[in-house]
Amino acid sequence: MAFDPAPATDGEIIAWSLSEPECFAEIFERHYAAIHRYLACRVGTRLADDLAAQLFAVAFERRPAFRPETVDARPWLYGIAVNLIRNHRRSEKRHFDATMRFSHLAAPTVSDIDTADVAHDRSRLARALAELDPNQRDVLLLHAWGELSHVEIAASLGIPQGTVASRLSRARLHLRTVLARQKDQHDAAIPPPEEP
Amino acid sequence: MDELEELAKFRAQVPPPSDEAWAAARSALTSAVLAERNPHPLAGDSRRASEMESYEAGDRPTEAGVLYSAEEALLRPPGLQGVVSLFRKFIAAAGNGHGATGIARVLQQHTKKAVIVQDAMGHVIATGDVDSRPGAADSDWPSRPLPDNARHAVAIPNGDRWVAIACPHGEILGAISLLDSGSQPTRAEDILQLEQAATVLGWELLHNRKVAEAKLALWDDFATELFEDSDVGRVRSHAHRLGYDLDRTHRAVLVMAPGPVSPELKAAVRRATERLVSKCLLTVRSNGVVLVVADELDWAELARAIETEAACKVRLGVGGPHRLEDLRRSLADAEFSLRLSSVTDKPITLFDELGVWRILARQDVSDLQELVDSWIGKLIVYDREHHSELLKTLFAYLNESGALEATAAKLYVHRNTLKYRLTRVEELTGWDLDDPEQRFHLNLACRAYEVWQALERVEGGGAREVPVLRGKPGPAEPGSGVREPRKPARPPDGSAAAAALPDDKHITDSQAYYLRKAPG
Repeated sequence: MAFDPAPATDGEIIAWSLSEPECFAEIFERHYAAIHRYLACRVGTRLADDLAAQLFAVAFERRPAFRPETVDARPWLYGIAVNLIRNHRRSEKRHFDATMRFSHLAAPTVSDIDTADVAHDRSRLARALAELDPNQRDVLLLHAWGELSHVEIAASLGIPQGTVASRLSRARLHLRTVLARQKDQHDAAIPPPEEP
Repeated sequence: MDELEELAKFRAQVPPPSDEAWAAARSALTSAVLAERNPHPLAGDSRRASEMESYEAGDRPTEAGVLYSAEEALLRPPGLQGVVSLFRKFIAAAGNGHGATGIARVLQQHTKKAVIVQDAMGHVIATGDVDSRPGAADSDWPSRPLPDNARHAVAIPNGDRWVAIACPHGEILGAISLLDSGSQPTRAEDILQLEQAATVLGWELLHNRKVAEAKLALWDDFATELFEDSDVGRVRSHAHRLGYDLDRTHRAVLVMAPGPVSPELKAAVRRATERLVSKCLLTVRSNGVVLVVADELDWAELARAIETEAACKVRLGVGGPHRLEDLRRSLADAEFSLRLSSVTDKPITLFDELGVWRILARQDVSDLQELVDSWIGKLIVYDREHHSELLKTLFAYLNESGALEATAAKLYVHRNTLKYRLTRVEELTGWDLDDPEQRFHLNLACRAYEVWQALERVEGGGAREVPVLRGKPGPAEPGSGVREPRKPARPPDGSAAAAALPDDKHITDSQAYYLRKAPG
């Protein structure tokens, strides 16, 4: 029986791909651009190329766990993306710590600074994001960059909806404060300090 | 500016994925799909390597992990420690003397699946769980072709099972299979454990092979020693060290095949014998392969087995049962039996069954000559000079117990002709054919002549064509019948009675003897 993936939901395609693995390509075509963009925002284009490719291979392997009644695969895919970023950050951080011990580089202001994000762009926004609690940052960025609803974020991260809402509001508040503070510093300093 | 707007602005600045990134990601997915279509869940899987790395880091993601906990447990490798400890278990099981069975059991305990271990021929040599699958003694395994590219200890799906071949040096030594129970799917962990088991199994089988080869060499030396070392005490002590009971009586069996004695023949004899007995002693002599056995075998079955293995016709001479000290006599018996096999014309000649032939052959050849000469010598000379068949006639008459009608029918001659010939025999030799004792001696002399010729024939190598007494009549006398229908293989030109003068090259001592005696 021929299967036309075009009108099918993500759940149907993934269920079908259990017996016809080639069908999974449709999932890739549908979501690759968005996933890549999200990853690129967080870790930079170059690393995003690798992680996005890895992500779909992982998703393909894990597809038996995907619940076929789910219409949209994005929360699932973003969940994998968050995991990949965390794994990546861990190795980055290890590397960073080692470098610090041996070269006596200046320690970062925030202990668990997201070096992946920083490496990408040391802009004001990135710095503000780096100061965020990692859990809050995941929620915020899935909301802002992943364009997921509260329900979808909850499914993505495997946390209750209420937690999503509270983390999101705290993250926004924190970000707003930091941005405002940076803006004040920026306005006060003449000429404005160069970003390193 | 709202922080969400800032974030959106930031996002808008990020470029979309390049074409190269698309292509690379697409091909990564394609290879994952292909890997599943032609699965090898453990080899060439970059994703698994990256997962291993992340698990190695120790701190697993907690929040998002909840969604995948079940799935991750499934995909999660047992970890380096698990792999090492399982290897230890396999090695311990194999090393404790349980061999393949130990390995199969450990694998079965860990995977909760039926396990079978097969040798290179496909015979089941061990099972981990026979109860759950009564058909574990798998007979159709050998007919399943193994993949050409089977690599050592790499699991491949094969119908209802996963098979990992043990071929540490390229040559397949065996295979271990994990059978699908049906209720539980085979997990990646199971496959990994199967491959570990196959790795250890490869070492185990290779070790067994080496030990067996060393043992074989040892046993072959011992077998040679049995015949060549005259120091019985030393042979006994060696037998004791090998755990071989020499107090039983043994038989030497000489196996002869067309052509020179080859290592292949020896190997074929070994394989055939090992089907019938557990222990076989083999040594090679110039005339054939000598087998020493303590058990009474079905010799016909042994001959059939050897012929199957060696893919050629063989003849067996079975010596009498003797103790170690007299084993060389058994070999002599076997050799003698083989020489006589042209008289009996059977593929298998048992020394025990040779009866009077044995007594005749034990004598010196000069005794044989004397016996033949004094009783039928005149007939042989007369037959050759007159191209007659008196000796053959006499032998046929004796074989038919003196029944004229039967003898005449056998020889396809008229009763009166037969009578006339027998009178001639009596006239020439002076013996009375009605005297039972003289008849017996004549019979014995005829048979002795036959044995004598047979012995010469084999000793003379290519002298297979020498005429024999009991042979079919030559082409010169188409009228005379076939006395021995069970000898169809005998060439017609070698069948003229002793009287017919053979070619010079086929002349044997017995004929030369009578040539010398011939007047003029």
